[in-house]
Amino acid sequence: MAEMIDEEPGSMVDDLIDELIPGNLDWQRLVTTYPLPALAVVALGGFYLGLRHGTEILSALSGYAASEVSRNVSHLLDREG
Amino acid sequence: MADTNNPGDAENADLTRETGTDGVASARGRFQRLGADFQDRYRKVSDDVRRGAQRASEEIRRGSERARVTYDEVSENAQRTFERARSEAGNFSREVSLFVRDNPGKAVLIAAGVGFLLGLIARGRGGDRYEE
Repeated sequence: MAEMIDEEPGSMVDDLIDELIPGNLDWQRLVTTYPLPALAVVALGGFYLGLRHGTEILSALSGYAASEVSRNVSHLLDREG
Repeated sequence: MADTNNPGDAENADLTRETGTDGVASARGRFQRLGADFQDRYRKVSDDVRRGAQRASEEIRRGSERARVTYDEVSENAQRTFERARSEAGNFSREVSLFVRDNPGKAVLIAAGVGFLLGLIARGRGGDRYEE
């Protein structure tokens, strides 16, 4: 748990992207070698996702956030009660 | 038979000759005055035309000079602005590249988020066109 708290936000993001992208693709090397084209491709992908599935992704994210908040609140209430 | 040496006839002839000579002299004087008047007016008109042409040529020269100066200024300003914009774009691109090399994950996440937001905005503006 302490290791997770000490972990830098940058490496958390890297881990998240590592989970999303297939393992045999060295995305960090690609991004650092071709920074601007890589950003353009990623922005285009984000644009496509926002255009086609924007509301679904937003509702899924907001549902996940709401469930996390309610879980934490109930956990706190259980501890105090 | 009439007498041709009649003194009255001679007087009449003299008078007629004198009158004719006076008429010719008067007509010549009038023609000379008319000619002089015509020449005077012609000189005035030609002077006016010459002065007008000189003024017009001066105005055209001054206008072309002004246009040349304005064109030079505008062209110089445009070139300076273009150079500055190119330099700033180069600096921005270098800074972005440095940031991406230092923080690839963050940069990818930010780019995806910006693209996602733009897509959402475009979807909002397009109404239900992109609804599946």
